[in-house]
Amino acid sequence: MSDIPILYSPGLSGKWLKYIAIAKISYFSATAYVLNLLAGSLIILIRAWIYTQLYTVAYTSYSLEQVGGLTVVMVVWSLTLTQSFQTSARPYASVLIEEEVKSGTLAYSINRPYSYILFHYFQFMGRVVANLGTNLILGFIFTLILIGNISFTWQGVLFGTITLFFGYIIEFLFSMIIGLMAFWIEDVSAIRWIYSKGQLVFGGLLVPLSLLPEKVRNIAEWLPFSQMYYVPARLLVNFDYSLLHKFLITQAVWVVILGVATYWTYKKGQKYVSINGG
Amino acid sequence: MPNKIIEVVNLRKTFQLKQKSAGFFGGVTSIFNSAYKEVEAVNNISFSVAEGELLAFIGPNGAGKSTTIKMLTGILFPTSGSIRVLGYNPQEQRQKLAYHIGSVFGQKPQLWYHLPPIDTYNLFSRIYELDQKQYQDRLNFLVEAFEIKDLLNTSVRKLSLGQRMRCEIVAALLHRPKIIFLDEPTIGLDVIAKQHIREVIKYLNEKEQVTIFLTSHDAGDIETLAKRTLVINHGKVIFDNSTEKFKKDYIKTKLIELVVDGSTKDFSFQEGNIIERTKFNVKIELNTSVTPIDKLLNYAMKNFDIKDMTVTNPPMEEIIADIYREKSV
Repeated sequence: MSDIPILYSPGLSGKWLKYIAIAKISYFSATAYVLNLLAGSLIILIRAWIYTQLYTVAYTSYSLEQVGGLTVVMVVWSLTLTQSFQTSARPYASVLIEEEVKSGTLAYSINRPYSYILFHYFQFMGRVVANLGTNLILGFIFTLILIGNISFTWQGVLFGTITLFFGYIIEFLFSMIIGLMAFWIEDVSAIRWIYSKGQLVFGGLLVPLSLLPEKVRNIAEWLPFSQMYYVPARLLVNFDYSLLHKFLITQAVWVVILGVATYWTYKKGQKYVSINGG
Repeated sequence: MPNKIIEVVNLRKTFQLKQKSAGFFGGVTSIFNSAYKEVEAVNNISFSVAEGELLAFIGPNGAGKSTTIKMLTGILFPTSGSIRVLGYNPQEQRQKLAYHIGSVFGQKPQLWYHLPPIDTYNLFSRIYELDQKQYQDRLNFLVEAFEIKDLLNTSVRKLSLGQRMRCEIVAALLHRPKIIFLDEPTIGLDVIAKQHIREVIKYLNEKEQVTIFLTSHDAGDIETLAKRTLVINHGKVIFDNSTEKFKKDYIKTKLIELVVDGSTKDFSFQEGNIIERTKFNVKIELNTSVTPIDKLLNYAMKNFDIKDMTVTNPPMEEIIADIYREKSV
């Protein structure tokens, strides 16, 4: 029907403005309750305290200076950073998509003039930015008090930030695929549970991968879990050019694989959407 | 003759529902031996809607109303049949179609819950790529028409259901849709809020010539709003005609419930059918085309001390049963 009057002003800039607006509203929503935001950061402080106790005892008992190139101070900082990065990405995109399918609000979110995948990505990034600021500030202050200072290099900060950006893309895509499975199966919590445990063990959230036996570390460093938060934390606490190349290539490979998988899952899944309720 | 803005031909949608026996062993068995039941949510329906029409698409719960709307808007894929909405195929051109349609799904919120409505409106102005000047003019107009000025900066979670519903409808209208799909817009609302929403719907249709596809199982919505009514049951269209005919043939009666101070033992009204009587409460079915309500009220007020009164339409299930009854005759 060609005579439809249109009000919108199409254009490339307009197309991207909508995604920025989605990220903005997600940021506003995440920061609507300051106390809630601060309470979310508390868990990082508690974990930082536990890791400090645990690794200080382990290093001093065996009179260790460094393990896998990391001092005890670096280990605690690395863990605080991975915890801060990971906590900032909660709730999982998969939780939100599953909720949309179960509650029926998918009828709105999928039915607007935007890419459904990009809509969730920018919503995710708005949430991340809101949480990351508080988590990092509180985590920094507390870790500084607990274990002392660490010297960050400009290369570490620069490439740590770049790899963190890609790390969040990998986290988002992985979680999005799990969420999209809710188009076929109603409950994806079991898959999400396996994913979160994979992240915990191989993602440098409990033990920095540098401390693992070489064979296990070699495998873990190729898995997507380590590419999310361990990689930027490792580069931040102890920058190493030889690791940077490996990490960037591995991240790029996972972004491409998961990106294609997400797109394919969405294209297939939308034909199977079955929304609960009237 | 006005343009056909929606065309549906032989539309079907079947769902596969997994069956599981009760208890632990039922659960274990269903893992290895999955049984599915096929449900025909929409069963070979055809209809069209003209530009500017206000169509009531009604039926009881589980009749296939929402499934049809979700196929018309491109969310669900039909099992077979064809749909054209504004010339688009909703499944293949969902994003293009989305610029020209608006939807409100009953109690499902589209406004961001922790933020004031104005934040969602600003977001939608970007999502629909609206010219910001035109958006402001449109918003000002809708704020005025829907009387939501005082609600714009209040967090959505603090709004009443009626207030929220008005704000939800505004969100669906910012981009001047040609068609608006309203799925149970008055569900859960009190009488005043319902009236307010109905006035707004009427206004949209009459003044802005928006085509309205309204589903409801409240006969009051249909009576006051629609010129044409389409009734669906078990996925099939069982009535498609003017609302006038629908009212004349199937909403002949009203249910009047009276609460009186004292006993209802002596309550006797020959022109109505007493269908329920308790100590202080009496429910009368009245054919209003024969006996006006005020005749009953005159009798009741003369002989009893009335404490409360409600007037309702017959339930949708009863209307459906009437349609079937007439068809079988």
